[in-house]
Amino acid sequence: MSSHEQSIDHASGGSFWDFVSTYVFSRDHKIIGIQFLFSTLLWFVVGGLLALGIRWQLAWPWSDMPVIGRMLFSGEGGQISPEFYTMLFTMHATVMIFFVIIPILAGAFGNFLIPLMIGADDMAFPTLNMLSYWFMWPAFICIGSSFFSPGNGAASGWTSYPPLSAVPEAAPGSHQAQTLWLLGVTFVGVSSMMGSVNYLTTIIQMRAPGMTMFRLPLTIWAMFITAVLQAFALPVLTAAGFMQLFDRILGTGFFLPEGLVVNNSLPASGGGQPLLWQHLFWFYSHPAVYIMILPAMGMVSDILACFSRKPIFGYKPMVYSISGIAGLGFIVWGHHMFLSGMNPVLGMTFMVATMLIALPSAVKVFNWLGTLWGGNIQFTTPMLFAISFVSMFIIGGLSGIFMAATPVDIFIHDTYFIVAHFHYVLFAGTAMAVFGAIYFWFPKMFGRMMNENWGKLHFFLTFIFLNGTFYTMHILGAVGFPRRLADPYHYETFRHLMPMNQFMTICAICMVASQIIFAVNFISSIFVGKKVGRNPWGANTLEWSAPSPPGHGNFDFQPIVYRGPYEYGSPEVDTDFYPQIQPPPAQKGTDLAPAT
Amino acid sequence: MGRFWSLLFLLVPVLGVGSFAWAVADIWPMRNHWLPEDISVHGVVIDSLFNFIMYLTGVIFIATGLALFLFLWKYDAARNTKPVSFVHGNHVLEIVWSVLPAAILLFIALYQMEPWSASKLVRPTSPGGDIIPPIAEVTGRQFEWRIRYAGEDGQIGTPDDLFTVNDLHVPKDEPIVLAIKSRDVLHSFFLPNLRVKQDVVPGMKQYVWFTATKNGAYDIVCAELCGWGHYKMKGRITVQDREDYDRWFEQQQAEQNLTELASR
Amino acid sequence: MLWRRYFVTLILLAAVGGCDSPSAKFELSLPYLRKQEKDASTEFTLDQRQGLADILAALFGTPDAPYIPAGGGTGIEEVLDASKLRMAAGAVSSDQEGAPHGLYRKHCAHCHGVTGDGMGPTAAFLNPYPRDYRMGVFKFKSTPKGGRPTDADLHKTLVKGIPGTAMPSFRLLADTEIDALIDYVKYLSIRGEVERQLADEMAFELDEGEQLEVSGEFLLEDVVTTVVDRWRMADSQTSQVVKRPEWDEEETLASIHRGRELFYGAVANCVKCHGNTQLGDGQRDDYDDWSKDYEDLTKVIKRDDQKKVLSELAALGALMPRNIHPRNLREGVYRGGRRPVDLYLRILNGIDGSPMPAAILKPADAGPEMKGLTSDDVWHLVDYVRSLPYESLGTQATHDRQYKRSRM
Repeated sequence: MSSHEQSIDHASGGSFWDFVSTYVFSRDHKIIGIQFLFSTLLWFVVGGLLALGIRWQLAWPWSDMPVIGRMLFSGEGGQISPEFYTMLFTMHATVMIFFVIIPILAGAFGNFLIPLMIGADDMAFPTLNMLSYWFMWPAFICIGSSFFSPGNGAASGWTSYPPLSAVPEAAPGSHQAQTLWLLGVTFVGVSSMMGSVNYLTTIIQMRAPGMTMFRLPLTIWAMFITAVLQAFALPVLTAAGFMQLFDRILGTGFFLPEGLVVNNSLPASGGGQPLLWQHLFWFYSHPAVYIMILPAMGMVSDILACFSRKPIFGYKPMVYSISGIAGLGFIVWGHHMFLSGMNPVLGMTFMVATMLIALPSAVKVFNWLGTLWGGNIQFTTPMLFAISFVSMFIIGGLSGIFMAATPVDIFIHDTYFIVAHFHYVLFAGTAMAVFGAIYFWFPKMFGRMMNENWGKLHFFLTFIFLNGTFYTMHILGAVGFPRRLADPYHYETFRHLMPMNQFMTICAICMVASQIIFAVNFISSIFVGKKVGRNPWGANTLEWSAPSPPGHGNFDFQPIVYRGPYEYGSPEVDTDFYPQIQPPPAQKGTDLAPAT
Repeated sequence: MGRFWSLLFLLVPVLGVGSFAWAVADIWPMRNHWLPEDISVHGVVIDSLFNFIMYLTGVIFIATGLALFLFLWKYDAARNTKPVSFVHGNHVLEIVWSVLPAAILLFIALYQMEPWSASKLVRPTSPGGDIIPPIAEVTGRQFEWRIRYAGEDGQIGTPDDLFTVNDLHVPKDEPIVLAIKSRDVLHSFFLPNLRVKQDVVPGMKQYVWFTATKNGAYDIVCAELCGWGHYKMKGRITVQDREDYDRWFEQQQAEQNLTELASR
Repeated sequence: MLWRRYFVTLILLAAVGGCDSPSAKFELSLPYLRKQEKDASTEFTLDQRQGLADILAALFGTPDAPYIPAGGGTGIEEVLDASKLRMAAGAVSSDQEGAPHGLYRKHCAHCHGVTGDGMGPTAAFLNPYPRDYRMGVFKFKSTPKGGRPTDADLHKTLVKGIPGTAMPSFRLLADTEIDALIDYVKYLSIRGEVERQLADEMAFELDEGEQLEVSGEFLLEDVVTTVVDRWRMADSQTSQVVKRPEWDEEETLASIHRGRELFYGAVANCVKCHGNTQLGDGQRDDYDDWSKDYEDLTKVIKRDDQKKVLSELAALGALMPRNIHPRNLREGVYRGGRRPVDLYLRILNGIDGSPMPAAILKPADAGPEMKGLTSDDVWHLVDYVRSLPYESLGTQATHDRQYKRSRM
């Protein structure tokens, strides 16, 4: 138990600066986790609204866009301009990837859960941890202020391919906004790298006695491997970001070949290759997508086992699968570049690796199904989200096989088939898992339960409407409906697809509206939710033996671990769960006594 | 409630497969909501690979979806009276469901190498064995496709070239090679009905090739974000019989060399 | 618990509770009004400006509901067709039969602006800026400087686009749609020119604060008719193009040589702007007429004064003036069209709105002591210019550079 933190009880009656140091610039991993959680949920709203802008334009192109039309385009009758649309999808993806999914998985849940689940009193480097949160704020400010620069924000796609992004004349958002974008992403990268150093050290060094690596919950394994991915992949993105920044500001030519004539200007360029950016960018961004799913997979495993009341099926294969996904994840980046101008022979090699990476994901799905089989399934709200993760991930994973096949990718690259795939894995998959995780660990974070009925309604509505929004994207993709077009109906081939897009937009609006239920539930439950004790769900892992919410130092006893995390339904005890810290029943001939 | 949720999850494979089947069957309101008409020679292989993967993943989708439904239905705690199966896994199963998918995936991987190679690596040759030269050079530019045909001398870059914008004509039933490049930023030359797509990269000259099998006018789409006008880069590829193509070519050349004011 | 339910309902209501759509509006040309105020040493009151806007609205309607100025004698029916205007105007939509409406707003307004002022949302990011129709000046046409473009000229611009600029080719639109857009462009141009005339009237003829007369006679006869007449006369003002003689290969070579001599000669003096190596690097510090229309920056010498002018213009929403650059003739990119006849017209008539001057034509049999170019001379220049991209002289941005990588 650490004593270097000021105890929460002594803060009462303390000065303003005491409050600030306890709750604002806190070095307690739980507070930092919750800070990440609140920030990312707010950005989730921003990202969702940007998505609604995209959906509106696709359903009713060039019509008066709600709120935005009146605010920014009243002279044109509310009709947005084409460059505004390019900003919408760029910032939607940027916000969702860098300000929502990655920070909520690693920053919010990683931070909150890692010390608790391994029996530590805090992270290995609490100050570094605090800095990793506060380094997000310069990123928030950079990208937030980019909305107010000419062009209303970066507009070269979240992938930011040069020369479009590197030559200011190439796009309205490629002036100041793109510089701010690069700086913002750099800050996020620094924050993540700080976090990953912390997580790796904490997990390796600060496990409670008895907590061997193969007794770690899969959430922790996932966070561990994710931290490895972050640590090795992020430096490449950061370097690439600086290279693009220098191309833009200092006149270097990393990515700019000679002879460009962009918007009738002749940028000072030469000797560079646009493909270099793509290699560097995807070298990070492919592991990034695994960063964005592995923690979710880990948390889903924990939730599924808990509410099936039986052990996870195939714990070690699950661990090996996570490692396999991460390892293979470093050698498949070229599958984003099959048609990029890269040597087609490389296309073949990346294709084989990409096909192989489907395997560990498939193994995980089968193991989840195995976990459900023969269980005693309790359909609580977190469980519903966890089950839906499995169901939706099957769709997302299977659709990936289409685009891994290079000849098929010739047709579906840069179409809505791809958009369908990643929204299934990232939203229908990860975001649903995140919702489930919030419902599941809310009692531990705040000492109160979220309302179950509203939670189930939230799940039901979100589930229906997300499938309505995203499933049909596969069909659009099969037609060849391209991404990132402000007006796809310009083309004969796609002109008749507006009704389907209108259907999808209506589903999207309903889906976003359904999140209001979650928001009200979440906020009000913090204040008036039903109070609960340490283990309302009857779960096994270490955090459920700490108080709800845990005080500074987390545990009011020294945790000692006796078994793995998934001993639900064990015949050794009468209850249907068997916490990791619960000593085994005293056996004849030993002098093991029950814990005090 | 468990039964309700189980049925909800059953809807996933049912509606998922159902909606695809509806689209493939081309029934209202999903008319023309599937792969667009394919008028190319290599497109047949691409489409059949797409369909093969779809059926394969469809089988897996249905199987896993059904399994999920069955387990949720059967092991609902509210109705299930049996104790849980306290197992930590099954070694044999793990091997089976690792090896089998791996084999299937490797099969798909090897099967598709030839179509990829034919589309991207092996340039078509004439009967004599020479590599067929490009008939035109397509330059992507913000926000149009500037096309430059080789003139009578067969060379692109000489004074007898024909220039068009967004308007590509090709003769039917002949292997066509196009040189593609970019003047400013990345674009992508996408012919949906010919199953052709290739990013045009500034600083790089690349080739695409295809053989069109049906006359008509089809879209050229830009498939890589190139700025605010990305959606405006619509072109048209017109496939016509060789004689019509030659006639069109002559007409355009004459118009391009006009030395007097034409009446409208 | 109940309050939670009410809260959610409230939020949903607020979200759904509609607001009406903003409607697109024509804007007054604020920089032009500023210029007239300065030239006439007067200041327009808000009432005067509103009065001007009201008159224009009464004459021409709104972006959603355009009118052709009613009343006989203007001859405007020969120039504009009301049904075409309705097709092009308004918000983007399609009617019962599937015919599209709002064509201008769909295809043109984001660059050319709802008012046709070349200041749409995208305009600031383009080089060159989109055309401001309101002066009635168009660059690439078959009529001489000061004349309006014919329908055929506008049709050509829409169908072929303007290579080397952001103006795309609209060849793939239906003919009816292109015709509708042509009429709408003329409509916006006429409206703009009428606005300028009325602003001149306000500045120079009226007393300070005096409102414009709404009398039909003055407006229709003096102002609108004057403006419309120029458009009506466009067809009859089309330049005569003497067809190029059918020279064989040798004669064409000789023509190219002669063209080169003329290019460097004192009569045509092309090198002054287009440069000694035809790279467009001669005189590059002039402005086009649209920039000069607000303030002739070539006459504002002091740097501080320039900054002041620019900030005033920026405050009024004008795009920052840019120098106009003579064409790099070695690129092979011809904005007005690459046909020989197009180049002939550029040399013959100059380029309206730019410093490119018209040629002084002299009859074919005139002697060398008479200043000017014969039509054959112009064809020699055309042949020379067309040969430039293929001359192996320069290594500047031409069509086929040394690529670092080729693929197979």
